[in-house]
Amino acid sequence: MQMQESLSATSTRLSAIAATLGLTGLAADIAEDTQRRLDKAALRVVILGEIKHGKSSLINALVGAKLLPTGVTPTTGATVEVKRGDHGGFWLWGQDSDAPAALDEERFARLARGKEPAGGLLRATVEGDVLPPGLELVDTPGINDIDQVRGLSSRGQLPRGDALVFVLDATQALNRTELLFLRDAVVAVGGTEDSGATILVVLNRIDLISEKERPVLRAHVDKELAALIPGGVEVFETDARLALKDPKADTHGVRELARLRARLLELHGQRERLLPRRVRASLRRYTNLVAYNAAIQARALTLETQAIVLEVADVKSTLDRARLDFEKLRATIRESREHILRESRERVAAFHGQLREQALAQLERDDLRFVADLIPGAIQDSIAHFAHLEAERLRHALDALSREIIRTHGMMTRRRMQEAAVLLGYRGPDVHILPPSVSVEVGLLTVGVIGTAIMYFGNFVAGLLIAIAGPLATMVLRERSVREIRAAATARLPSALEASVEGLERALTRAVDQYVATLEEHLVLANERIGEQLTAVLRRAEENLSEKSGEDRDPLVTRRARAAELAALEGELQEIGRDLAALTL
Amino acid sequence: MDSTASGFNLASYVQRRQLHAYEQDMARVGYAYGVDLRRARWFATSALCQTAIRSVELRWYELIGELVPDELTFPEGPEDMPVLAEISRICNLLHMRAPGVRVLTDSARASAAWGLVTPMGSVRGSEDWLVIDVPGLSALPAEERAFLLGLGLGHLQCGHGPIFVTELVSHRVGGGALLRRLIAPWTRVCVFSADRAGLIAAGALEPALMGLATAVAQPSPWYPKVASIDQRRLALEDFEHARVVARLRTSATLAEERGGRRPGEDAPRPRGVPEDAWSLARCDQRLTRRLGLP
Repeated sequence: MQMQESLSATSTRLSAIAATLGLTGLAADIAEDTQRRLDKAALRVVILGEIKHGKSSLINALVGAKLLPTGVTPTTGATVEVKRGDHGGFWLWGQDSDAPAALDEERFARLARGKEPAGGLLRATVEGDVLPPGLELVDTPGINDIDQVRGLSSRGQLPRGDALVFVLDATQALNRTELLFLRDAVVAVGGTEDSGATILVVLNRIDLISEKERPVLRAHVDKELAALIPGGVEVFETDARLALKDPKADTHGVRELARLRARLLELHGQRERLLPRRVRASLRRYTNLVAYNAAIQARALTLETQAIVLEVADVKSTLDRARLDFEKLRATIRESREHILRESRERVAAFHGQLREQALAQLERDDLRFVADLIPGAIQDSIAHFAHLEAERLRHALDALSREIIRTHGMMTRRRMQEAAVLLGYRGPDVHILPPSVSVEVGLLTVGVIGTAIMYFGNFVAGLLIAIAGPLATMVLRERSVREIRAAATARLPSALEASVEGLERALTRAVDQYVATLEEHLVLANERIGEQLTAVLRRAEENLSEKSGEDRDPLVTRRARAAELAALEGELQEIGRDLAALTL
Repeated sequence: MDSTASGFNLASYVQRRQLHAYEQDMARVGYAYGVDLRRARWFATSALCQTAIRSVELRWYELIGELVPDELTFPEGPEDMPVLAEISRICNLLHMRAPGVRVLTDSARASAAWGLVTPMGSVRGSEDWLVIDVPGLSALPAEERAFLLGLGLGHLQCGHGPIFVTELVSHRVGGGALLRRLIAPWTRVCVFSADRAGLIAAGALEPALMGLATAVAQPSPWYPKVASIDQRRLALEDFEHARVVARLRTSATLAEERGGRRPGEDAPRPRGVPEDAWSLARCDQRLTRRLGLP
């Protein structure tokens, strides 16, 4: 109970921060999802897949009634919830209404097919024991629907699902789009290990595959899924059409459908254990998403008001109207990453060459102190300085990439690159140059002691000899020592420099990859609402800068105060992230 | 300056290192214990000590190969960032160049062979390392953590790295008893300068004393035998009255006000240097008398 209260309080905090940033839609989603999972204990099963793979047919077969429209042409054009109700029927929850409006079957079918905009949430309720209370099935449009808005609305369901049932057509299972979508699904639900989320794969229309070919098909699907999701995924080979027509038919496809139903009921039975985990995973995802938006607003607060207005217009026209083509964006990100890293490696290689040449030249100095004491530190300083400059160059390149993808950018690149440069600055010298041999020092001391002793006893010839031999011995020993150190350092330096530069390259690559992953995660989590969210945070930044508490308030003071408030919110988000990570369930 | 352009010049970094050695000297004179500084200077320039310490350094370079990466690693993850940011802050405060940082691995932490913060370095300070236990430090209150980091950085700034290297090499490889005896007078007094750096980093006496208690409570088996906690506590209480501390507090208050933040304490924040604040020489004199040094 205490844990539920803690999750609930975290959700309230996060929702309030989202609202403060101007993300009212996201704030409502956070509150609603948490309430559904914790207060209503409702498990949401989202059925996803490409068009015409039998998603609606599968739901009909699961509830044992032809509830949702099916047909030859793509039929599902809107998201439809199916759940248990006191009365069976079809309903429309308007966006601003308190109670649902009843629909007749024909009107419901028109809205579900997307023939006209629903303007709210479509729901079909079933009576009796077909579905237990607290189990919701959600039908979605095809992810590759020609109408991109529909495809995006399916993506938008990903983070809100507790179990994702991904429907494949057995005759054309697992193409590239489906694999990429599944990858996004795993990111959106927060992974499958401790997020409470379950991903199930349905190979529908299994009746169209001969029994002989089924093991080959299954092996292919299992292999692809294992590469994508650690631990693999449960697969069900169903025949939804026959299962609806003849639920008692003794075929593999119908038996598998019964197994799928049993599995969903089993998940429903475990919802007390699963749903708190879902809340935690979902809040962690939302925390990241809100943090990305906060970073964008933080950077917007550094702009002139007019620049923000132009950016809002750019985001709106590009993202809202052109819509998102995830595959195209992903390809752009991939290509840009390669390009940015290739250019960076060329610069690192050029720097490495110059450093090596000049470091070897420094070893030619005859001053031991320079060689042993100053060169390693100076090399490290030059590497740290180069890292700092290179991090700046990469930041510019990654900012440009963000602008290309989401038409704006935030503080994330600066922070990531600063981290990389700071970490490199603290590496310390990887290059060790051995100090002079102890024998040299001992030899010099010995010559001094012997010379002093002989001179003390007054032997003129021996004293004369020592007067000549002392400086000579000193010179020979010093020269020998210098040669030894130089030879050892010349031999060691190239490999030591290589190790240092490899470390530098690794750190820069990691920073770029982390940022690219951040950008991709932002896209997946925000989904179809990314344009709406970006314009909202930019507009809020503009409002914040325009607000003045008094007539003569200095704009710089306003800007500084807003930035401080936002920094406090970002700190709170970090704290929420840490608390959620530390929360044991 | 574009490091990839033909203008890249390693010699300029060498010159900066030389200049920095001079600046470092100036900076530590501002707070360190005079007896420690004199002994450290002799240590760094005497042919006798140089000869002895070189033999340790040669073995130290061999030992590094065993320590990295089994016991020590580079700081690489975002979890290290808050502690690194704290180290940067204290380095700025002490006007010192940031040392290399090595992070204890999980197995090294479990072995209890290392403390929370360990300074290591060569005799001329060209390769200074601060070895830190990130989870251990993160679990401490902020001011205590600052004291411990300030203590470690103070040791490095005052050139005490070789003392720790000598003790570690002697513990791990064996030998070195003669050298340890030779540097014992320096070891005995070195901690007072580092404690002062810790107090400057912590900002107040109370958390500094708590940090001192933490440092003493978690000794490593090979750490040098330093002065007793009572002597250290009294020395810190003296240093609390020093003008150096008063000046630092004033500049911290001004920085807070410039940053637009209001001081979060109800009590009035210190401004200016009180007339009755002690000179550094007076603090040193009291300490020398208490220690019974000539």
